[in-house]
Amino acid sequence: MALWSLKGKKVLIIDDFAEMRSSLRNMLTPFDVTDISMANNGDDAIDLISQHIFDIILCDYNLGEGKDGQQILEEAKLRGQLPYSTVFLMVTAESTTFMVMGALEHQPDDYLTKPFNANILQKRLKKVLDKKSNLKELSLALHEDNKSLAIELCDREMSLKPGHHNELLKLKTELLIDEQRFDEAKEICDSVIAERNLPWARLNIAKIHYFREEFETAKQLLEEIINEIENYVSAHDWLAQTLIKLGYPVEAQETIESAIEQSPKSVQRQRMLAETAETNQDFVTAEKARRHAIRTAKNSILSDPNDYTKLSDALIVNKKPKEALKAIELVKHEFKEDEQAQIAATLSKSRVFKAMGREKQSLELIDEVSELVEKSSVPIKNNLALELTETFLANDKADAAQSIVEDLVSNNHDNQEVLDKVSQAYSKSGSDQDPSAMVDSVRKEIRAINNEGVKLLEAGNIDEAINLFDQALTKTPDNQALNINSAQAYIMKMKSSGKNEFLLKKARNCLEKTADNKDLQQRYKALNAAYWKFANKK
Amino acid sequence: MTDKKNITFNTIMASSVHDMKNSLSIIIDTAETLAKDDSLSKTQHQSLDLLHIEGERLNNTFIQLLALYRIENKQYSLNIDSHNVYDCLEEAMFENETLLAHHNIELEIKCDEEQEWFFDKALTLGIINTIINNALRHTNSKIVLTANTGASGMVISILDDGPGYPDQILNRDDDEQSELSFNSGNTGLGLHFAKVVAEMHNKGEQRGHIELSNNGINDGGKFSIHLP
Repeated sequence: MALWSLKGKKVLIIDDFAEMRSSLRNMLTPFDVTDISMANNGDDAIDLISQHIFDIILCDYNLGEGKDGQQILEEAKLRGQLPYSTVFLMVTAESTTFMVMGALEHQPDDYLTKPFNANILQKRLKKVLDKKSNLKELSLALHEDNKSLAIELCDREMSLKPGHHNELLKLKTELLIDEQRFDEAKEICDSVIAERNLPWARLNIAKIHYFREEFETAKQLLEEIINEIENYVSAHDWLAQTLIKLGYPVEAQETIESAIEQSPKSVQRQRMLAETAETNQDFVTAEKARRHAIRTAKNSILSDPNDYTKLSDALIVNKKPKEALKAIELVKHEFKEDEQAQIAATLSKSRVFKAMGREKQSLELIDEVSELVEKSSVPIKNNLALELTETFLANDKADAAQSIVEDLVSNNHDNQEVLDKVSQAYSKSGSDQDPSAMVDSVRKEIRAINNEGVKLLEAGNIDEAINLFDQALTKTPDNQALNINSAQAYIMKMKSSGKNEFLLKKARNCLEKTADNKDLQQRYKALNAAYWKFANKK
Repeated sequence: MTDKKNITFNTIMASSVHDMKNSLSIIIDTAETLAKDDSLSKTQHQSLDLLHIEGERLNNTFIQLLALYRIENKQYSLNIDSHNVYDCLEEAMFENETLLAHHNIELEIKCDEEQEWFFDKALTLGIINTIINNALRHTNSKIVLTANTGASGMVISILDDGPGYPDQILNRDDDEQSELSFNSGNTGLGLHFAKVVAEMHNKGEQRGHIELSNNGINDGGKFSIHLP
């Protein structure tokens, strides 16, 4: 046993209790660990993780006030600061916590229940390290978002070693569902269930029904699961989504509330509750959930100015305009550098003043908003742009509205949902203008650019195509067709002139923007695979 | 209202459990650290071992109470997954290594290293630890852990070479059992816990159960957990 060594490994211990930290340190010293850092709270831990790459992180789940272990893990993963090679072990007081947390998107490599001794710690560390070195290729494929390769690698791993392969089967099923290969996924779940009624297989079957839009069946299956396994949090999440699709937002809200009881510190879930409550016009709950989301996300990558402006809207309804102004004031300080947040905050403020009966000030603020929009160096995001369009139209600022809509349409010329919302905004405002002619001309313009670029690529004029796309993208950075064509141009450039860090970065940026677009999946996959070929080249 | 009360109590309980587990960790760890000091006398070492052992026992009882509370209040759903059985037995051995050394008892694992089965690892380990703890106080020189899987499920057995279980435990009637055996203290709680947990494991019509006999080593005690 003593032969095993962790020499040269960099370790981080996170625990709010000094004695626990030194106890963990003592457990590791026999294995030649010399480089140990300590943190007694979440914020310090996140600072350390952003400054160093640790090989092993031992993190207590319960850190008293402030962030818990799960939030640290989430934050580090979302910031891309936890490489696959890092072992993250979560230390908990109760083994029941696993089930609740096991449903979350970001998972530690293993859980340890207190108290444990050096031998158990060693055994778990060794197991995780072995697994990591065995599944290196698979994790690389996952990192590169190459799902079809990852599925093949799951199969290869399973054929190499006999056994139950529960974990690999589960991963493969989830990948198949992501790839919309539902029949194959269902077949795995059915055969797992034939042997053992495992919750993950049941949940995935419900998910398949959901994606096939068989919402009634999905609902029934999810209710069965929750009935038996009350603390299976992700079953609650999926049930809530299903209920929304079925048009039962009130029931959906109840479901989210019960999921939150199990796992109160999830920012995303609090936001889901707030949104559903807003749909249900339950602004007391919306206010509470927004406040909770703001508090939990504070000083983290998940912090979002939208929570503040939505909180302000809820506070208006709840007749607390002073608190609404306070919430908006916070955006001014906490998102100082974020132009869009400032625009959204000013817009919210105008609504508060309007609600307070201070019409004149409200109108002045709308003027201020339109100035900010004009000065803004980045195109406005969809939701805010739609909100602005409505406000400008309602306040006789047709020109300002038009310029927003032009940008919005060029950014989304193929997105019917956005285009529909634009015409809704016009008809809602009672404006006598019809935006369809303008929308059509913007769409034509974008299509022309895309066609020209593709022609240039086909003719082998790659540099010219890149120039054209680059220019168009500075104006409309989120346009899907432009992004995918542009990614193709960068990849073609590298094919002819070799790997280039600058082009790689540009291609990555374009690919990230199209990763979730269902219509562009085939092209995204091919280009993404080509991208990683260059990225991995020495 | 009851719901609200429950939430508050659960929050209080969760944070108390966290505190108590920290205290237990530190007690056990301190005893372990002190025991590394070679200048201590034999009696001092034995006292430290005792501290350690009682800490572990407290932890076992605590885990059982908590699990039973959660099960009773429908807050614990089995977390069934496939686990390597040998790993699980080895972990139980590691958790009890100080006790084993203190009593000078040898522990042997007889189990195929590749064997896997579906069960709730945390609860099953809770049972194994309790039974090892109990066996330690009765066995002469050794404890054997065995595990086998087959069509009807997995059987984990803990065998000792002590005098075996007394008749009133072997012949217990399930209905009277709880009252009778709780009078014998810790053993009673341990058996009750084992029974509840085993019965929670079910597959189709099959249900888990426990079995006590004196078919251990040289007619010593044998405790088996059957999990379908």
